[in-house]
Amino acid sequence: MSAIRIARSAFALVLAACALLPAGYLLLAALPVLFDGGWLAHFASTSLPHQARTSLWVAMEASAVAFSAGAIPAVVVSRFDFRGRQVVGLMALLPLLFAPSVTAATWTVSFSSAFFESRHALAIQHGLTCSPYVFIVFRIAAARIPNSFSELAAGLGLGPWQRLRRVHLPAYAVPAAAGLMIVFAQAIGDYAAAERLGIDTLSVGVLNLWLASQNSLVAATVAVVMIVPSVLLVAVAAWASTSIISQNPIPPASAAAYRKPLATPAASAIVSWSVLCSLAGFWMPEALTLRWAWLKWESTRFASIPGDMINAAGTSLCTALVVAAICAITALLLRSGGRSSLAERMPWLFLSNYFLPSLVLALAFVMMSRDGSVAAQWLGSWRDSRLLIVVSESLRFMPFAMLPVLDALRRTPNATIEAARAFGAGPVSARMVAFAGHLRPALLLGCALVFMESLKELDMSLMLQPFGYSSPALKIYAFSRFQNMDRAAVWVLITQALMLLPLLLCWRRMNRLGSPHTAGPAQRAAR
Amino acid sequence: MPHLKQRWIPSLLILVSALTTSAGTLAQQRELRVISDRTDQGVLRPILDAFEARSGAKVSGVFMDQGLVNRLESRPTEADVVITKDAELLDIAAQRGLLDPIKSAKITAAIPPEFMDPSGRYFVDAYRARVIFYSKARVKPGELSTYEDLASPKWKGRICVRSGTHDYNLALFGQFFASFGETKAREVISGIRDNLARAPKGNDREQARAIFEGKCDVALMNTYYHPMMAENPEQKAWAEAVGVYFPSQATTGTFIMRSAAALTKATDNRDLATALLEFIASKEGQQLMVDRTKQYSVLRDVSAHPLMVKLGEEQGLVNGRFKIDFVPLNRIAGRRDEVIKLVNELRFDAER
Repeated sequence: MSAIRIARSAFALVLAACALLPAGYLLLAALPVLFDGGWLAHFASTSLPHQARTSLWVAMEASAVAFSAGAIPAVVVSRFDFRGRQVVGLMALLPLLFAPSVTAATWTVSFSSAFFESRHALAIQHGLTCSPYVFIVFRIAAARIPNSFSELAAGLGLGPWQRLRRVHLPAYAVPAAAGLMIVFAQAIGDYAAAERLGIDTLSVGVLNLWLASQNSLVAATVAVVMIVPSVLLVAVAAWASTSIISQNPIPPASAAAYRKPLATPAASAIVSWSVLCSLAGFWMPEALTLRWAWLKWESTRFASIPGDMINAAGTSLCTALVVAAICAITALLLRSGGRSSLAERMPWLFLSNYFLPSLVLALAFVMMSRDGSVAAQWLGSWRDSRLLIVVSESLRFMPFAMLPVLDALRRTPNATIEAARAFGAGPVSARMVAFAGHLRPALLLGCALVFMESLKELDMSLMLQPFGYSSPALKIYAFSRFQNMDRAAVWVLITQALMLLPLLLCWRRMNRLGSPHTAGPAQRAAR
Repeated sequence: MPHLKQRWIPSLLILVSALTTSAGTLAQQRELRVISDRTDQGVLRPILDAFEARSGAKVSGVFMDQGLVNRLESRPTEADVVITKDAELLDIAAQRGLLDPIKSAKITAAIPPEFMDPSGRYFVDAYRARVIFYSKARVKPGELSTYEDLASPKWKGRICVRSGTHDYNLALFGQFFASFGETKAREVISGIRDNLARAPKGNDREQARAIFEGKCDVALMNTYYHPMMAENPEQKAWAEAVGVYFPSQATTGTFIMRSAAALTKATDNRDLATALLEFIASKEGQQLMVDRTKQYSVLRDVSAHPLMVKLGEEQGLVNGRFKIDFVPLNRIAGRRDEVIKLVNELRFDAER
């Protein structure tokens, strides 16, 4: 075995260890008391079955909402040309500007109907929150599926429904699975929005047991019911992605779809649908936020805004940079010395952290870095800085960048590297040149998403904040927990201002998909 | 170019000198570290600001209302002082050996013994009652009597309450266990669960809002929310729609929630930390506590907040003074797990 292969395998194992560190730590902590008939047995025999069922219902409803609001516009935008196409893309991405707990607070403060406190409302909120991700996943996938498949099926005499069943649905199976993973992870792992609406989900059950008992061992023990299934699910997804999907690789960008014109009534319908979805997911909460900010403008403490903005932007930027660095190293090593299933599967394990409530993840870091621990000694004074927030957020949000990067890698044939080497490029520069086309946009998109998610993240900042730390997310929490959403509004707008640039980057990237700039030579020739 | 460089050098030196001087000044200012489950924006900051002005020290904080004891357990010396809105948490922290005894004659002299931990590891700095808020439009005060009465069928579908696993309700239910005995406590909690109008959700203020909106008729809440809502233009209507009833005044008395303060294991700033606690226990600190938190002072010579004295007038209370069913914290804290398991068994928080 060559040195590079050993290095790659070792790196893959290190990545896996990092990804599973918090979950593994909690499991190890819980193991001695796991089966002694204590808290886990109590939890399993009382509220767990009901809470698990509620979580599954919420996740399924949220999936339906996310796919309606995200996947349908994505496919239409990818396959058709029509007036308002870019507006549809923008509307689909706008819910990224709101954290689900903020939307939940906005809704409950503004509307008193029982529906807004129901599990259906929670599912709609999670669905709308995830719809931009589903849009992005389907947009990327749809831009790559060539029209020739459908045209060939039509030529063979298959009707529209048969083409949908036998060509389109199988083609979208992978993005659908990826979208489902995101929505389920969000809906099952969420605590803040569900707790706000009083929906007794699994994560609410787990965290309430911990917070009530103030006992980290209880938390570790009951969190096992979330840790084990999520790690297993992610392991299956990793296996599927590298086995099944790799055997049937997605066609390269050169075979990307070209867009047909869309009839005006259909175009109007899809634009209206996008606007309708964005009304609930963005425009209504935004209008309320703006109104509250205007009403409370005079009582806003402007002096603390610059510091908080710098704090939040700095933390999120560091998180995005850590994620970018790990993704770049992963990319470099994965494409060194032939394919390796082990190396391709390990980075997927980061996804398991997204299934866990972020408070559980934060608790794991609090426990791991306790006084006298190896981590505390190793980190020294860095432990009491924002480093732990950056590291924990990096682990949680890594999939947003890692999965697009792995996807981009799969689409970059090794022959490109060999060709670059043949033209005299060194081993590193050959890879940089070969991957630049696919990898750089994927990495940029992923890091933009990580930056935005990090800005909205609350629980890890709350648990791991160093002394004197302040951020817009903490301010929003401090005000909104007393229904003072009017005073939180300015901080919501500040967070959104910081997210504008990455949001525009995502929008631009989505607009360029399948455009002449990004099309391969074959597609350009076809045009 | 050399001329340009020469012009920059003195400016740079002045800047470096200014930064060094200010850093030196900052280094001379002592820093006291406080960890609390209250928010920086809320009630605590004015008290800390007053102490800063008095002592010249800078007070920096970590404000987290989730996992406070776990953080303290993980980093026992990162903060000098811990302040919490739920004294039961400090009792748990004390039992886990996370607090040092408070050695201050001023505090011992000022705080009544019932509000002091018997081992001197924390003291109660203020308290509020967990009472019944009722709809003025739909409920007459005469219909209300005791906590136990809330379990009777006449309240079926009429009660609102926040999550059963929240610290406030755990403390209340723990006092049920201590005061009523286990069997009766289970019956009362189970009866309240059966009478809920909706699944427990939101915080205390949202229960008042639910009464205002006609979703329920009575709610279990802390007293200070009434004046706090009355002072907030957006929530004033909620406050005006509800009355405050102190249960069990004719029998054993009303249960209270206690906030508390303590010293951690950190010793570097012990003098400053003790000074902050002494300030909180002083008349000035207690007056600030009453003004800001609308709680009742533990000092007998600090009167209730003007907005609090009218509470309970409908049931004949004078100056906001009420009979307390006083349950020592150590009798509650030991049963917390038992209460949590009961709340879970009853599926208190489940959807209705």
